Amino acid sequence: MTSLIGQKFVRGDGLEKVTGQARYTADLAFTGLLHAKFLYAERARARIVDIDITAARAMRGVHAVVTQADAPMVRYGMFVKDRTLFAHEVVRFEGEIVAAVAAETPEQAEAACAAIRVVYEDLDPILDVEEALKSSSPLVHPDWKSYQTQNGVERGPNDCGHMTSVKGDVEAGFAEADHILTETYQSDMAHAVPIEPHAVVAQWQGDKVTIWSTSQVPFPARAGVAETLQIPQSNVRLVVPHLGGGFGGKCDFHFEAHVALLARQARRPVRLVFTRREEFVATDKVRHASKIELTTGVKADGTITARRARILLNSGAYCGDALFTTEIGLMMVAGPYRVPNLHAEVHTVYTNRTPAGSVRAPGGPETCWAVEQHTDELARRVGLDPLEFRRRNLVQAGDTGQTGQRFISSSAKECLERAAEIAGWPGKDFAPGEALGIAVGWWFSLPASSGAYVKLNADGTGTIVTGAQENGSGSVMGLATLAAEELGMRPDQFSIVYQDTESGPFDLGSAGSQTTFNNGRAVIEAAGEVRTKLLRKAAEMLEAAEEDLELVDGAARVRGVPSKALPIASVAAASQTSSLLIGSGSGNPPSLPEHDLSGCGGRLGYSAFLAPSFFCHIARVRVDEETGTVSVPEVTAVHEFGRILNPLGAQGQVEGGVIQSIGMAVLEGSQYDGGRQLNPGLLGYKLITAADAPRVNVELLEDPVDHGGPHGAKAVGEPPVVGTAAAIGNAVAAAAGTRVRALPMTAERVWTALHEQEGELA
Amino acid sequence: MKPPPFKYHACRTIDEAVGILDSDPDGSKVLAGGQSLVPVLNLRLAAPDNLVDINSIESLDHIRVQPDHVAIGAGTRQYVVERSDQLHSVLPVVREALSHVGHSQIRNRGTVVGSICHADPAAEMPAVFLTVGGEVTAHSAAGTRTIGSDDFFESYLTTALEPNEIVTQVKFDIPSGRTGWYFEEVARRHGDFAILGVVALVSLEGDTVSRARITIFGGGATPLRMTAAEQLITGAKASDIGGDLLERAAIEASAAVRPTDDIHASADYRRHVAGLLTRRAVTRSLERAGSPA
Repeated sequence: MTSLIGQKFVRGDGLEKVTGQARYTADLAFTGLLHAKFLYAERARARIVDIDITAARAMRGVHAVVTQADAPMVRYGMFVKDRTLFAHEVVRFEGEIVAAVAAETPEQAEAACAAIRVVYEDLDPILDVEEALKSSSPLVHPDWKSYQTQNGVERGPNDCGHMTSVKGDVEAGFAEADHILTETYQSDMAHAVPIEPHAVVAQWQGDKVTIWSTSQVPFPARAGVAETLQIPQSNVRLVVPHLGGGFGGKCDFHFEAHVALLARQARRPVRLVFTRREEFVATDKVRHASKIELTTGVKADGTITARRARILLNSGAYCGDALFTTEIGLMMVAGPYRVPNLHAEVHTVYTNRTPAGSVRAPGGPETCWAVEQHTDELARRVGLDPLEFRRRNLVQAGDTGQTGQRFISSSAKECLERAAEIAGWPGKDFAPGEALGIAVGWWFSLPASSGAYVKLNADGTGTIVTGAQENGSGSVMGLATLAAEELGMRPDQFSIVYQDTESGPFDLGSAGSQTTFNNGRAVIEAAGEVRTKLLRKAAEMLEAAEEDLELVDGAARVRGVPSKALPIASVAAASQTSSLLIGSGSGNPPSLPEHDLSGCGGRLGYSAFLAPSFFCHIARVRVDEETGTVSVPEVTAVHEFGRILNPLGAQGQVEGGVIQSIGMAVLEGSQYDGGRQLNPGLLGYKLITAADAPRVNVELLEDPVDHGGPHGAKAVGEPPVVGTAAAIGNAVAAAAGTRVRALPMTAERVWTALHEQEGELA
Repeated sequence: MKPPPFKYHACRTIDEAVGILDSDPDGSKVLAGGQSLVPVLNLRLAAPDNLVDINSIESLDHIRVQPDHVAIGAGTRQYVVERSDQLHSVLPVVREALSHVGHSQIRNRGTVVGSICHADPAAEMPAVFLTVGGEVTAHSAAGTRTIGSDDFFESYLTTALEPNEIVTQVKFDIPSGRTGWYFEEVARRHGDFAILGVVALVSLEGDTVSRARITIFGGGATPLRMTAAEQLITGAKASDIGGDLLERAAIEASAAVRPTDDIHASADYRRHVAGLLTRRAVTRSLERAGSPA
């Protein structure tokens, strides 16, 4: 029988999703359901003088009005416990929740919110990251020192996490250099923008609450509810109906506890559904606005001798899960290059803006973009083709990374060469204003605990019960292939019970591209236990030796004697009168590769990249030099993912990632007037749509790893978004003859850069 | 959001529609393709008491190509106009402009007349109307009148129409002589309202520019004719229209627009693009008119 690994398969949830039968959180209806609305601060920074909810509480249809006075005084936060459910004494950004209302209609709830009288004393907002770091700056969190933190977090005033990455002797490295180049790059805040907005439904029964939520991370969300409401985790069941996309924006703990509080006070089920404006303003997961300063020394032959880097991340009002971004961004500053001497630091800066956190590949695209623009500038400085410059500096097997991790294998160069071949580097037959741009990068696989159960049913089908969360990528659907492969069955013979904290074992959730990588190993282990039991039972029934049996095409049979076989259904049915065919697995996570953190500070566990994957993107762009307009007709993306388990799924991830990234490259970005977002909606905040999507040439390379995911696989979900903006930036620079040092590279920014260059030449 | 409550009238005849408008001119809105009105209702930016649906009035769905003009009914969908080869053969700028109106799904529903009457200053069809010239036919209980393209657009989303009037058709003039055209817009994405755009028609008699019409849209409260730039090239020999004259036309255009800063672009950028697109419009229109320039 041929292996299922690497075969195309149709995902189990596809039909109901494309036919509109799939039910999402906002679709859930209950008898007596109330509707929740939040009252937001609508100002960047202020002291609350008074909150009066009397009028709101007396309004028709209103069943609950809650403020921080109704919630336990608990500060929560993944890395720094700096936040309360509702504003406590102060508000720190425009989307700070001051109060919540549950009423019989959304309109009544909204009217009641408007009737809550809050007296504020407005304060000057803290908005600029450089200013915020000065000792003279007022503090976003005056009590920051008293906050609890995760072990290892190093902070300062207005800095919720700073870290360093130090290797070699950076001054000695600069002394060896023939050229030293310093540049600064900046990126605007960008959003995850899943199609489905946040929605939460909460219903109490006695002292237990069931919460249906649009969470990417059901178990951490459950823990957040228990922590903030001071109730046992076992009293909270968190269920995710179909999830309509997340892109990181639904990671971490969000609004579940607010809705649970309303439902408890109202003694009725309560539903919250966000508007698009709330998605932009009130969530705490946006891609950080960043400022990235890079100084690099190179020898005349292009060899990099040293780099100094400083990254400032605008974290907004709270830390949230931002320190993932902080550390991963730090790990991107050397790129997949040999940088023998490095001194890099990163600061996660509090300001009075919407809090930042995970968005698909946190810290990736913006840092890769800056580093890769810088790389092309270095190549230009030494007179080398960008491709050749990269050839000379990319990591190879045996090299060590920025924290001393030794690369057992590196496909960085293969990705580069293959992409160059497909894209026809350096390109010819260009239309006016056309050019190619190249970018390389790397990404990691996240080792984490994760669990699954597998059982065989009497009719010969199987069921996977997993803690994993399907956010749309298909990774949970793909678990069926892994179980089927172990048991000689077909993927479509498995049903999957998932995203319900009451049934599946713990899993981190759909975050860090970890689902297949970790839960896949758990499912294989669970299916392996079933396989052992199945073979034992079949051997007994067939009166054969276990070691002579094989599992093929839904049957257990004696190897070489196809006639001596039993359908798995018969064995499963027979097992119901003896020992059941069930298994469990937790796919013990591999540990990080050996590395050396001497001289480094503030690190939190992402200090080496397990099972690193490499990629190269080449973009073809067209720049109208007179208007600055950039279009992207074609992107070539070559990724090495260890082992391709599901080619259709992996290709979809790369195509989607590349297209999503074009938005970040040329369109997206929040604009601010002081502390208020100017474009919190899809009319003002432009996402790329099908009409502007390029042709995407995808090639997937394999280089299976021993200590990785199932069958040697590496993480797939996030790497595709890391390199595209960088490649586009380099193509724009090549086409326009000038470089745009801000993301997004809008037409006006390109035009301004051209204009400034004209000024310099004149 | 959903629209506030309104009374819906599915009209069968123009008289029926006009009757409702006349009974409550300020509280009524005409619904054709609904591609602008429905979002405005859903966002609760408008709250009419009466919605006068003219989609079932059969006499409004037509394209009539005459020797000197093209008449398009108020019920005619943009996609029908876009795909009309007969219209294309006499006014090729229309197809090009329509291809930038939203996306095909929007054009399957939206109407040319509806877009003109909505009078969004950054929209394509009002600018086409102003450039090619022509008139709209407006009906009210008091009778019928025509309004010329030069008199139609008054301000942001505001036209010369009275609240009790309904437009039943638009006529686009067909230019005489050898005429070249140009359309271009700078937009954040395909299908978005333009940051700035240009529509132009330039006609030649012999080697001399006999008529020039250049309209910038997205550069003020209405689509704007670039009259100073038009005058500069009108009467000039096509072969003389080069660097210097083009540069002067561009400067005139940059000075003639009244753009504002918004989240998509600054006023400065828009002024620059107005000049640039004017220059391109003249150059390409002359090429298309068959001149050696």
